[in-house]
Amino acid sequence: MIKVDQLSKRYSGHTALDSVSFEVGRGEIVGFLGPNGAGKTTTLRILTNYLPPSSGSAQIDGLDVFKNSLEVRKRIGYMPENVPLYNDMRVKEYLRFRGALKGLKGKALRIGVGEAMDRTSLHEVRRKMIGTLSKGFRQRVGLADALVNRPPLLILDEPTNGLDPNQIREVRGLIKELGGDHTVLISTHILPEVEMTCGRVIIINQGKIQAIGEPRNLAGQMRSAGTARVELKGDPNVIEGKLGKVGGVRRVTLERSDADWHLFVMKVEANKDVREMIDRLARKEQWAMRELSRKDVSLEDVFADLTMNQHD
Amino acid sequence: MRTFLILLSREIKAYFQSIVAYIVIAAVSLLHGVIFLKFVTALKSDSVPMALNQVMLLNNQFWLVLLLIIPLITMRLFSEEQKLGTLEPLLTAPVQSWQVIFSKYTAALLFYMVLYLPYMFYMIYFEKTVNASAFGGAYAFSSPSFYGGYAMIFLIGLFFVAVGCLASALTSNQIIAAVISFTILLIYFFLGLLRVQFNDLPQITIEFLEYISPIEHMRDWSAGFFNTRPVVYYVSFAALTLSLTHHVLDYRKWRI
Ligand SMILES: Nc1ncnc2c1ncn2[C@@H]1O[C@H](COP(=O)(O)OP(=O)(O)O)[C@@H](O)[C@H]1O
Ligand SMILES: [Mg+2]
Repeated sequence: MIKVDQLSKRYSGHTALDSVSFEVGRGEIVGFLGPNGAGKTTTLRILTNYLPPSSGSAQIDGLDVFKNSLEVRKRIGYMPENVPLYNDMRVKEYLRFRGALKGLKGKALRIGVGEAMDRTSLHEVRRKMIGTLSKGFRQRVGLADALVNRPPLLILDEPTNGLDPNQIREVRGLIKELGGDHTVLISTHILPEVEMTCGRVIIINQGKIQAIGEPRNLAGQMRSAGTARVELKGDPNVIEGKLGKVGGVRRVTLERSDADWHLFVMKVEANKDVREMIDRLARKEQWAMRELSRKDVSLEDVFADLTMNQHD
Repeated sequence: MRTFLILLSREIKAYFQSIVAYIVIAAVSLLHGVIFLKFVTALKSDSVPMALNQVMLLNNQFWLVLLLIIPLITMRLFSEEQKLGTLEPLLTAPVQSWQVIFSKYTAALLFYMVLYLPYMFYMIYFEKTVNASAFGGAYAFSSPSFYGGYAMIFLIGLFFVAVGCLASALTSNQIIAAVISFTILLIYFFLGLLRVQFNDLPQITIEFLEYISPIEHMRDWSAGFFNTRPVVYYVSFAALTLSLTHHVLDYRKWRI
């Protein structure tokens, strides 16, 4: 559905995107994840034909974004960052206007607007001036606009930005639902959002793609995958040395000491559970134990790690 | 075409749904009314060898009103969209930027012509109710000055409204947009007035000033002398200004 090849964008000298390539298949929900200023909005604006790239190419549905710009724009429902809307229009009036601009007329327009309002629960405010709506309702109007002509591809730039937790839950639920009929590309700088809604994630930082994969598998690709904690009684130097030799353990650090008790944190390889071996080791060495646990990496860790590496 | 009409109807609605529009209509009608009354009163004492309508069309106060109207009705067009960020959803919908520009331009031009309807109404009212002989036989109304005058108001509007569009595309601040277009138009208008103020200018300068002067164009047309030169002049300058507007609006697409 989306094919981006070696896309670069420079803003008067400053490189915002650097040779970005990725693909999104039909029906996927893909998260475009990166901190502020990473180049997410720039990429989405190139895909929607709002900005030209400095070099590289982008295709939507096999059509070049710039050579077939009108055709491409008909296939995209785009919700820009911060959802700019006309404050002097009423909700339904605005959606009818947008539907008509996107080529709907007559009955198709009425149905399109009706369905978009159904999905986003906008009926109760359909006669309200957009300028008087709360942030949550504005966001829904933006979504309804993106949906109105049932485009095969939805591109949503930070769709939950500025919403309260309830509204965020609603919008995420809605996006998940939409995944059935549409290909969805959402950008966000919030990790849990991607883990909850997306089948695949593209991580971008400082204009470069850092990683692409399923939220779960991405963790597996990491060099420092999970952590394990163990609190033992004994000589800390001996313990540290022996823990380091356990298969799967990468690095051992002494987190804190409390009289004879010492808490160690270990970086362990992905998909490896070292607890059984540590337990056996402790019995053999006759170390008393009062904690043994492990934690899988979250996307958060992956992300922090990737961005950290950037600064190294 | 369909897209253009959808955009146009949105722009027209945006004008007529705002209170500001009605305040502008009321203020302009009032100003024109005041100028009208002033000349009717003057006509009672002096006889003027021109139709009342023509006298008014060549009066500086009438032009000052025109120069104020343009920034007021055009400042919002692009500035507001840039400020709200709504150009992004607009231009990422399947529309072309010239359709957007042309719809805004046309709506502003229509609104501008509407603003001159009360003025035309005063003229018709005057013709219907006043006995010309009451003014010492001086004629008060003539068809060429009526139709020619309105047509010239339109032609000048073609260019001036385009200048307003350009100014509005240049900034996201409406007030700055208004100041820019007012300044440009005021300078332009005063260039034309130089012709009247200074008689010892070189011939070539006089000819140039006459060529570009809206007040000279109005003098010709309101006297029934319908030369085509101003038509070509205003249509080309309007086209040029609108294409500049297009470039400014596509600034983000420039490769720098
Ligand atoms: N119109 C612009 N002119 C100059 N620099 C810009 C412009 N838009 C974005 N940038 C810069 O490009 C980089 C990427 O921005 P953006 O794509 O908005 O990031 P994100 O959406 O991921 O927060 C940032 O460093 C930003 O300052
Ligand atoms: Mg952004």
